[in-house]
Amino acid sequence: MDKACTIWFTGLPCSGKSTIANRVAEILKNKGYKVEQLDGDVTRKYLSKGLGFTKEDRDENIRRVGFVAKLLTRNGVFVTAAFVSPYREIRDEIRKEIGNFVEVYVKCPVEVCIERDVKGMYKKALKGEIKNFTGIDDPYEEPLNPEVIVETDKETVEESVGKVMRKLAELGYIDEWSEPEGYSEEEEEIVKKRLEDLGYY
Amino acid sequence: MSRVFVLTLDGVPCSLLKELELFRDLWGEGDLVQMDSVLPTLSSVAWTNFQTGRNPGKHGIFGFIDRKLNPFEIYIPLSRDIKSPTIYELTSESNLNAISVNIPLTYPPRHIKGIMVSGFLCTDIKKGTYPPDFSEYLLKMGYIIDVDPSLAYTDKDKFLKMIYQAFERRIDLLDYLLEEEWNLLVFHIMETDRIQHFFGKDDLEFLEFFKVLEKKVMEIYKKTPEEVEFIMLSDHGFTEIKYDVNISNWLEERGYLKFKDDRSRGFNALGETVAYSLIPGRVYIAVRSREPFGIVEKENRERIVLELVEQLKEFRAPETEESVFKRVYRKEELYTGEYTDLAPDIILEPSYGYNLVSKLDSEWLFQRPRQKGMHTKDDAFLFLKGHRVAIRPQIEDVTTILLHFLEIDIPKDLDGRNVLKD
Repeated sequence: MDKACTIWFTGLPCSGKSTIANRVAEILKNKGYKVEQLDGDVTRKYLSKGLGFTKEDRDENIRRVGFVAKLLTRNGVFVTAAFVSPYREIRDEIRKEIGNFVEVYVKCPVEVCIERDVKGMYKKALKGEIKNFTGIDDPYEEPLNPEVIVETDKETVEESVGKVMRKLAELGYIDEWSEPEGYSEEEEEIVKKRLEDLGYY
Repeated sequence: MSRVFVLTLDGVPCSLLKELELFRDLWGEGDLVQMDSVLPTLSSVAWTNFQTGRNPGKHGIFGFIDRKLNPFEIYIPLSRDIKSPTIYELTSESNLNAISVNIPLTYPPRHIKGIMVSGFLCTDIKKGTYPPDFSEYLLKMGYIIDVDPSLAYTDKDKFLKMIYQAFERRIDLLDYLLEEEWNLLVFHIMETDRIQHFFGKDDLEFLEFFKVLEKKVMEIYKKTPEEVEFIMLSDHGFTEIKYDVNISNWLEERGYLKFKDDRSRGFNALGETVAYSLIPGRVYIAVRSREPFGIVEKENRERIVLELVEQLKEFRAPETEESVFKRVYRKEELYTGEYTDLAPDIILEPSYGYNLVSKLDSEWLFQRPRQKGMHTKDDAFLFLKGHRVAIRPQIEDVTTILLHFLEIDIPKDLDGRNVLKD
């Protein structure tokens, strides 16, 4: 059976975890790998219903997700998991448990995340309507040795996705990863000529 | 949620559709309106507004060529240089299937959920297709990415023949894709632009091509399932060129641009320069320590911009006494967003007929044109089947309409407005 892994995206709310995880999952599927996507919206509904956002509940949620990820991974299914997962200890615990684990730290300044605020959660947290909100009144513990760091305020989605895919290839989980190519020297000459002929150069 | 089919016709003027009564059978089925494009009026910029729903200050694309700083370099932007998410990222995130064919500045193809076939300026079908396997189908059917425009100068018959070949293959592909599974299909016809660059409305070849276009588009329209939202648009208009106008020469004549070396060496030949230009109508202040040939101190940039704007406004064509520019803009007047810094300091909107070029290796200011047609900003078109448009649209508004039909949340920083009536 092919060697699969769990790709664990951690970072502040609205840092871009799901966006990158979705793209990575899509590329893996197109390459013919088996992939399951896990994220908070799904697991909080089915796997961890009733759990809240205290440290204990958050840890328990991540532990359960980690267990499912382990089962899938050992059966040759790639798992993309996009969770805030703010606490280092539980992330390290599931890393040990799963084994084939690639941690992706989706780094983004909290000010930028607040600006994005896709679901309006930061707004509520800042007003005090939601408690224990990571980045506002609950801490986020940065990973110390993640396999990949992506910086979503500085990189395009393509660049971040490229970093993750390159790492998967480097660690031998996928056969190869070739960046979407640009122009060869010869092609660049053709392109310049085209632009000149059309009056754009 | 609706399925959406967007047929994009590069450079087709709204005024031309009305003048030639093209797609007349469609007019009663929705709203056909004139639409504003973007400045600079180029397909790479306009279609990036369309792809992102944002202005160039947010997506960072200002032309087919651009400059990099530190060190100074002229380069050709690619799809990865687009700084904001495109509609295809949004459809992928929403687990919707999108197919995009031939839209300019989609090379290298993004890894979307669906199919992406890159358009102008892609030179290799295999490298320009995602997923790569789909390129096999394209190669087998003889798909052509684009015609070779150099033929227009050397062998016009061959050029025309190639235009028809490329167009027919493209329509074959569209025919095939209509039957596939998609939520969003964006399909681009480039030949409409190419023909207008090199043929004018008085040319029989021009009129014949548009008749063929009309026939094929109407066939496709009739095959499109009734429940599908059908949108057709262009990214700019076209008008006949009276003169090519060399902005680099205008700057040189007034002492703003100087050569220290043989002008054939292009930017490498520039000496102590205050301002320089890139096609079409982009003027940049050359700042000391930023551009290697720049002599303007940072704190003087704004003053020079204002000085140049005033002079450019006065620029008239000698024979006609017409203003060469319809309007002269400072970048702050046109763009918003974190990449406005990358924009030209001054943007020139040409009057109809004055084709703005920036040739460092030529000494003329006005010249009889090499081509027949040039782009216009204010004469693109938008057609929506079964809907009315409430206000005069801009090209980035179309993105918002697509998101609305696809029931995808509109990102907060989108510039596109919902221009639908009710």
